[in-house]
This record gives sequence, structure tokens and C-alpha cells, in this order.
Amino acid sequence: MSMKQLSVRLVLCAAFASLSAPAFAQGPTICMVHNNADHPSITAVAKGMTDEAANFGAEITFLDPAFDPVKQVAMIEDCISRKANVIVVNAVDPAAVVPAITKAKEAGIYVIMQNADTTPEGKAFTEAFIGSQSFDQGYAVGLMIVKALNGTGKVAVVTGKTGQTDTVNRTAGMEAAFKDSGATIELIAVQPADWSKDKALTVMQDILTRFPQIDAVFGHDDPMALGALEAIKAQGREAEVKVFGVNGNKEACAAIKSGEMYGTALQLSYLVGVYTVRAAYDLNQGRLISKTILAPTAPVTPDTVAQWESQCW
Amino acid sequence: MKTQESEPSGQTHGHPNPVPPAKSGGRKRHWSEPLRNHTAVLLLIVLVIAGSFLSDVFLTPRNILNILWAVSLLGIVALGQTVLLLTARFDMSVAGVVGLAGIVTVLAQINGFGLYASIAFGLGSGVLVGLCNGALVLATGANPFLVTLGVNLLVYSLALSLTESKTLSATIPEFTVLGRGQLFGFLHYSVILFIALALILEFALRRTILGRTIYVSGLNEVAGGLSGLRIQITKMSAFVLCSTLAALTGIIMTSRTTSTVASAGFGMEFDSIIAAVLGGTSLFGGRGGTLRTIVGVVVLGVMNNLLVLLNVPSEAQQIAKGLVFLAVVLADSALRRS
Repeated sequence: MSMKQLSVRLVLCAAFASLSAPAFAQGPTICMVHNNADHPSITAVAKGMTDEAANFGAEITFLDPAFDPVKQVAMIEDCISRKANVIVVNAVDPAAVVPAITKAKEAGIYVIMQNADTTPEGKAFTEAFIGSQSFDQGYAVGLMIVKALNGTGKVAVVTGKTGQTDTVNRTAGMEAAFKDSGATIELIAVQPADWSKDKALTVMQDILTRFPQIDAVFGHDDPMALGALEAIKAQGREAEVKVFGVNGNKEACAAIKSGEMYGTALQLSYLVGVYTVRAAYDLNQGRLISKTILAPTAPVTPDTVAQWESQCW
Repeated sequence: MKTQESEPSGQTHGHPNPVPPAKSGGRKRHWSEPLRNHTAVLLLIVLVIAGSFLSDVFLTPRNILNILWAVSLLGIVALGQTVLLLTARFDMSVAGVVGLAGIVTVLAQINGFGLYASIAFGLGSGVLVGLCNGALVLATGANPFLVTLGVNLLVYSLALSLTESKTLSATIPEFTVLGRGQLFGFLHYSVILFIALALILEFALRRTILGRTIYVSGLNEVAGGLSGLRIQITKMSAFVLCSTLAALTGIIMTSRTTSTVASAGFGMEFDSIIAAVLGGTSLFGGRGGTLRTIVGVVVLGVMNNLLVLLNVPSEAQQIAKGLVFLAVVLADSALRRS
């Protein structure tokens, strides 16, 4: 106990010593725990954070659990022992992170959830959610589908990994949009491709075999939408099936421009990174911040692609 | 001693008998032995019959060709894994190598190298990882599972740094022929490559000295009566082969989807082992072959295909896959004990 207190004091002394050096420029130390760094969206978030950190003198450590909820918890605990000022978590599993973020709160560390939120119980231990919500992205895609199909037709979904926040919410958002707009759209298949472009190709191939008529397919991210598009092209059914994704990847925006894809919900990921650093700075200064800070989701379709192209990543 | 060496040879081609002939010759076979030896074939028959009743598109030529195209990539990885399993070792780094090789190939293209040179770079990355795996395992005697798991992490991180975590797209249009091209307009090149490799490897395993040394090194290297050096070289070749075939898979996958990410091969490390063991290659070395792996891979492919055709909810799909995995491992252990 006393050893622990001693070490806490030592670290605090060291922190003050280092604080005095760059005078006022010292920003918060931020520990960012991704869900999986190997994704263009995360690259854009990280770039937004790094760029904005330069303006606020923030120091960021990036950690990548590669979709492993157990590793993510260990990394959050690692951030606690590093005594970061702010821990930012993009939850792999909304419930699995709760004990770790509780611990962080008890240690006096601010927790910000980014892009994938925790459970309602977990939210009590967090300061804010920053991101584009996967439900809203699904909803945006749902509205695009309703418009493209004139409110009626058969739709298949190629999903991310079963049970993950983004997977569950993107489908739910799409279905809510169908319901709210009073469309009579039949959901014929919901099959997982685990965020893999190659698996999406295989799964879509089987969905095409099973269903002679498909009006639209929703890939839970753009790489999977493009994988599904490959399968559709291989069977020469591109005139029949309209392809939708989420992200706003450069490849997807190019495919929308050339008429191969029909739409994507563009996440302004760079902004999410920027907002995160600003919120972390404010928290560290003892300021109050909004509980929910949303980066906009932009529907990119053949009509709007010219307007949004520069934001695609 | 002699029985172990003669085990791989002298058997009919497609159906290697895993039980040494000298042992089983004098004893009456248990009635369930053929059942246990050909689990994958039986499972395939059951799946095909069930599938043909449950789905009217399942047995169409197009669907069958689709299944083969879908599994050919995992199949090529599983062939390498099979050879390594015969030496009683396995390679968890294939997942990382699939990603790395695709990325190296695409990066070479982006930097102005030609089609063949870029493919050579990709394959070369696999050879290097294989040499690393082999050297680490053989020099230290450490557990191959853990060593290659560690190497996998390094390879994955290397691939992430090379791409800065971005998706990279191939720049040479002809490159897509490898993954998408079809012979006679219906049979994908990757399927032909998979079957051809399986045949060549099966022949090499049973008819060459190197191949037979692979079986011996898996069964009992000391009793093999061979010089230590030759055993070491044999095992090294198995590691290099496994990693190179994973690299080939990564290159074909990139060609099929025109772009790649570091995580492209995730899951293939386990799936390739499941396919090999399902086919009848033992986790404990010395028993099995690459033709059997074709059956193992096709069973997995048919299962995945049926899960989608029957619109099985994704949560239930995990149960099916988990059960198959457990059944395969338990059956292999039971076979070993008998």
C-alpha cells in the first residue's frame, strides 16, 4: 500500500518535472486503444488525432488489440498503469470493456469512447462518446436503398464479424430506415464475411446462387461491398444488384463515380480523430464536455459523389 | 524400425493406409477402421446428400465450381500445412504470410516492377519467413506452435507498417488473371493449381526420398536411422514449402480481389490445420497426405456453402464450425490411441 503510494508520488514528481519544461504547451497524455488498426477508417482517425495533437501539445500512444476483446481489456489496464490522462477506447465488445473502464474511472482517468460505444451500464464510467454511430451509418444506407429501389425490393446484407457492435448496429439501422420510410423491402439474407473482402466475394457468390432476384446488397464496409461487387460482376448480374457500403473509401467513391457501386455512408473519420483530441484537452483542463459528440455521416451516391469525393479516404 | 520407413510407400495412391502394413497384416482389422480412416469422405457424402435435399441449387454445376473456386485458396495453404503436419510440426504464421506476400507483390508493382518480378518478390517473402520459422524451431527446439505464433505477429506488424494500415491495390491489370482467369471459361486457374499441387506433392511424398524422410521425421526421427543433418534439412524444407504456399495463396487472393490488407489471411492458420486434420492427416505427424487434404478442404467449403444457401443465421454458423473443429481433433486423438 505505502509502496504503491510512494510510487504514485514518484511518478507525479516526474510528471511535474517534465511539465515544467515546455511551460504551457503541455497537453494531455492520451492512450488510444483501437479495435483493429488494420483498417483505413482507423488510419484516418489516427491521422486526425496526430495532426490535432500537434496543435494541443498532446502525447498519444496508439494500441492495437486486432479485434481481440481480451487483449483490449489488457491494453486498457496497461494504459491505467501508464497513468495516461485520458484513455480513448473503440470497443471490440461493448460489455467486455466495462470492468476495465470502471477501473480507469476509479484511478481518476477520463475515458472517452470512440466510434464503438460501451453498454448503458458502462457509460456511467465514461465522459463522452465521439464518433459516427454505426446505427446512423446503417440508417443512412437504409435510406439510400429505399430511394434507389423506390421503396420496394429484395435486399441481402453481407455483415462484419458476428456479434460486434458495428455489425449489429449497421443492420439494425438499415432495418429502422426501411421501417421509418414505410418501404416494403424484403431482407432475404444476412450472412457474415468477417470484414474480409475475399470472404465477401465467396459469400456473395453463394447468395447469388441461392436467390435468382436480388435488388440490392449492403456490405457492412466498403471493402466487403467491393468484394460482393466482384462476385456480382463474375456472374454478370451488375445491372440487377445495386451495391451499397459504409466508410467512404477512395476505391468505393471511385466505384460510385464510375457507376459500379450505388452508394456508401461516408464516415468523416478524420474529424472523429480531431474531435477526440479536442475533447481530451478540455477534459484535462477540467472543462465540461458534451456527452455525445457526433461526426456527420454523409450519403455518397452517384448524385452527390462530386461533392464528397475530396473527403473519401 | 523397418515398418515405419515402409509405411508411406507400397500403398494404393489415393487412399494411403495410415496403419503400418507389417503391424496390421497379422491382425484382424476392427470393423470401424475404414470408417475412422475416411471420416472426411463419409462426411462429404452425408453433406452432399443432405444438401441436395435441402437446396435445389446445391448440386448445380455452377455451385460446385463456385465451391471449388472458394476453397482453392485455403486449399493451397492447407497443402503446405499438411506436409508440415507430417513432420509433426505446424505453422501458425501462414495467416500473416498470406497478407505479407500480397502486400509485397502489390508494393513491387507500385514501385514499377513487372508482373513476374512482383510475383517473385511475393513468393520470396514467403520463402524468407519459412526459413525464419525453420531456423528458429530447429535451432532452439522450441514449441513450433508458439514460435510460429510469434513470427506471425512479427509478419503481421511488418505488413501493417509496409502499408501504413491502408488497403493497397494492384496496378498491373493482367495480374487479375491469376485469381479470376478460367480455363475453358468455367474452371478457375486457382482450382487447377490447387489440384495439381496436391497431386505433385502426394507423388513427391510417396515416391521420393525427401518425401519419405518427411514421414519418418514425423514418426520417429531417431528410429529413422538417418543422419541428423538430413532430417534437419527435410524439416527445414517442410517449413519453407508451407510458408511459400501461403505466400502463393496471398498472391492469388490479391489477384482475385485486386487489393489487399495485412489481415487478409486471418483465420487461415486454424482453418488450414482443420482442413488437413479433417482430411486424415494426423496432428501428431507421420500419417496422412495431400490428396486427403483436398477432401478435407472440400468438406469445409461445402459446409460454408450450405450455411449460406440455407440462410443459417450467423450465430448458429459458429456452432457448426466449432462442432466440426472439436470432432476433428477428438477423432484424430482417438485414432492415434488405437
